[in-house]
Amino acid sequence: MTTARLPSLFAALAALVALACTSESGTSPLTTATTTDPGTAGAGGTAPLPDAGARVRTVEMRDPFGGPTGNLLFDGDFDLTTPGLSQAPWYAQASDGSQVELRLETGGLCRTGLRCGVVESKVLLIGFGVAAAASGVAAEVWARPPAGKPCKVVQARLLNGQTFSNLGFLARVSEEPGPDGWCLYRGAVKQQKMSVYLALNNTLAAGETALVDSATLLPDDGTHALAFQSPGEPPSGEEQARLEAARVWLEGHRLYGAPPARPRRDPR
Amino acid sequence: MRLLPRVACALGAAGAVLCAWASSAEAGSFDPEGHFVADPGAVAGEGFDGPVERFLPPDSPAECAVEAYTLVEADDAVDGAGYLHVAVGQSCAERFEVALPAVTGSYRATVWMRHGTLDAQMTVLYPDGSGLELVVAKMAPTGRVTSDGWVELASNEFPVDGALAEHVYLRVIDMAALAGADVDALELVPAGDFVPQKDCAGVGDLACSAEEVCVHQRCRLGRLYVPPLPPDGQRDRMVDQMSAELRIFFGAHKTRTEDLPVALARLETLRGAKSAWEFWSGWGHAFRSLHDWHTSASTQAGSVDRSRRLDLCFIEGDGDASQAAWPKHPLYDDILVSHTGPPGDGTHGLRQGDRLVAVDGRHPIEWARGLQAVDWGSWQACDDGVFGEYAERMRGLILAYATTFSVIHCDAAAGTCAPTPETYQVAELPVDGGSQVACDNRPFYHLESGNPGANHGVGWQFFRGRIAGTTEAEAIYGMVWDTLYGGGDPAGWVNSHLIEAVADFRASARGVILDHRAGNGGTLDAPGYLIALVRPPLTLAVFPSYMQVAGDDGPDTPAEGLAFFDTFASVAAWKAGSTSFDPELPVALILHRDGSASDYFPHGMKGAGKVRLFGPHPTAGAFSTFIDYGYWGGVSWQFASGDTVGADGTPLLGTGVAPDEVVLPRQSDLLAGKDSLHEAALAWVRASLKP
Repeated sequence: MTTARLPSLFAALAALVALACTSESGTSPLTTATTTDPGTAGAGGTAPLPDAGARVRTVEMRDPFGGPTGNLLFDGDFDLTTPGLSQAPWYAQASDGSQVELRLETGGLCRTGLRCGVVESKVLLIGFGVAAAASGVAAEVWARPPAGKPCKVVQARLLNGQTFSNLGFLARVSEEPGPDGWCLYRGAVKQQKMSVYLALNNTLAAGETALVDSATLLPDDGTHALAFQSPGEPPSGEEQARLEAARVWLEGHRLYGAPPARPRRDPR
Repeated sequence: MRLLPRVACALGAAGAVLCAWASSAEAGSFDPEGHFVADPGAVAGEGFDGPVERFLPPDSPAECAVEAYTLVEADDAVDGAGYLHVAVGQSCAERFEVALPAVTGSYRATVWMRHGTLDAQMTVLYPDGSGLELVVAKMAPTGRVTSDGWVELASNEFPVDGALAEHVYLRVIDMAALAGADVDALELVPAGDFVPQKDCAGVGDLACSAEEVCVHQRCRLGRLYVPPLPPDGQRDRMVDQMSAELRIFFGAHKTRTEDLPVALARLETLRGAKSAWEFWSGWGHAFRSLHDWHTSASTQAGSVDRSRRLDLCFIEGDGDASQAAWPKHPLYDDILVSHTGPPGDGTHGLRQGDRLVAVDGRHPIEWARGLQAVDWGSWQACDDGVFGEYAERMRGLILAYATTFSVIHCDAAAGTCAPTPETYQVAELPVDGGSQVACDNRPFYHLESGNPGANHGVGWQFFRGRIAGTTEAEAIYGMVWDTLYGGGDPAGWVNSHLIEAVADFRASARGVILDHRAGNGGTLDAPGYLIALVRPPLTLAVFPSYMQVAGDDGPDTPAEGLAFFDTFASVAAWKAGSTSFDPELPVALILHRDGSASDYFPHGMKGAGKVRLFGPHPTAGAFSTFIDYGYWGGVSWQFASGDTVGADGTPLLGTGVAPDEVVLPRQSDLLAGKDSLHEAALAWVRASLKP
């Protein structure tokens, strides 16, 4: 049994000292940040990395609900995607064509919000979205490759959500990750009549993982310098086959009914 | 300075301790270097730096006895030199006890988690016979995170009678079952006032405060089941974002134009919410206002265990044997007892054919529809005129929320009913958590052999054979089933059964009765196998899923509908039928409470050469799929997205498939041991037999 931790004078004094230090130095690790603005590479809402000196971590406030408002992806920030959902906003497919549970990372390890996706080797990740009502769409997604790996180990493209045909490849803004370890991928497509999905592929080695976060699909105001003039780099034959397998799987498993009952857990 | 009064009180007499604790509602903080500083006001906690006291309920399954955690020594622990790593198997949990003072108190708990997902709750167990029920306080993020991945979770204030509590513990489930999750720095800080458990009669009982709801005869403190109240700025962002998501992704033509504005208005009211319960219960109410079969929000508040039982099912019908005593409602059908479990303790003297005339003095359906603000399990058809879902859930709603219900008893042998109803007090039903018969809207089964059992557990099963009371020469066969979850696999459980059934019907039947009265839907491949029996190939509709274009309200005119159909005909067409269909085989399809794929199925059957649909009312009209979201603290929601448009350009969602022959279960038939819908279907098939 854990002993009751009654308030003690020592603890109070320690806290008091801590408060005084914070107040005088103005270097409280508790910072506040809204994390819904995509920002640019190396900036944005990511938690600052620990200093090289004595600081062991930083602390900040984040919005558990993700964002930004108006994102045309169902859950671009991964904050509302959890294991066990019947039809989650993201679909992860293993190389053998089977569906796999999306792994999640948390807190300041993510770029924005409280959760982000973990991309594993040979896992194809598809985020569901819609087309903008009266314009093209501009897409962004961030990935954090394993240490020492370039941004190209993760590839992002937009798909027609019905046919899974390629709409365009998202360009890497840089070849190497920014100081915070994250890479930005951007692109835009003209107005679509059908839904738009974001597909994330990778060339990670077995056992390696990358983080993905802060994916947005927003109405394009026409100012995107990286707007596609053509579908860009087409999927390889292997990638196209995987996309087609994913399309068929999703079509066959899309639920039109009451979700299968989840096993009831003992409330204790 | 804020800590001093707390310390002064803590050093005073025992009576002063509670006084001082009541002023504390903080959690641990961090020094400038990022080291955790425990809250000096915490009265209990766990740093996971050494041996922990694990609690395993004595009746836990054997597989849960194995410890699914490790204590990890690491520099990046939040508190101290170590943390807990948990990786729990399906249906198990890990529990770690804390010791609280042996007095009544109210506490707020915080804990830090990292990696994956964690379902965390504080749980208070009282001994049997204490009269006190289990207390569960769910934990959800405060928004505070660290650069090394830790996320702070907090409960709302929860009451503990420390003198009576047998176990107080943190329960964690990592949910991901992949890499597990880390847990550290549990703290319990006194906060708020102790709230005693109180009995209540039913929903609306003034014994419960505005922060409580009466469920299963007890005032439930709403905040225990939901995350903390989002602070001001965050609350506005959540409302903004959820409203935007619904505007962009939700629904179809009917629900977007009629129901979405209602839900958005409800969401707007949450900006000014003053308590966690006000905010989150309003959140759930907004989802239920979307009036959609696939749309719901869930919290632990919807999972309170029943303490009593009604071992029987209700069904919409025609109370023809009792309408002289109690007239029919102008809008709603009568509600009859469809079937019961074995006569005895759980049926309370109710029998098949009895009529439920009122709940808390109102027509049962009218009463059930009035529960929208409190009933997290609310389930309703998209079609405004269909209420089968309410009837099917009626016995559970009564046990959870009603104070009284009134029944006209009938005598099956005499075929007569009492002139006045008997009124039951729900709280006076004996406490009994025993089993209950399943509700499948089938008073009887009609296969010559191999019918479902007396518990009506149709579920994922298929029951098929010759119809009882028919001759070999008539060759009338039937099938009883509820699921259409084919999952895209022709060789899978569901599709292989359907394929085999159709082959047998083709080979041997002169008439078929398909009994699909609890149609739970599934996937759209499954209906196609059955439709192939009766119809030549045809494009029945287009169903691009999910929503295609942000905020699309769908076709408003026939011309727009046809344009929509043309756009998607080549990529999202629902084609069904077969060149080998049998135009001479009569197929009766019996429906009652059917939705989604079980809407598409009758839509595809209706109008085919020799098919006739029998039912009391249209199906749910839930012609769409849905998307699922998971938040924290046991909160999740799902909503429909997209529409289906028929070949004539008509948006289908919101209008159920109407039966060709409207047949209500008649009370006089139930009393006579007859199934009105089956009788009608059998009569038609017999008159239409394949030559």
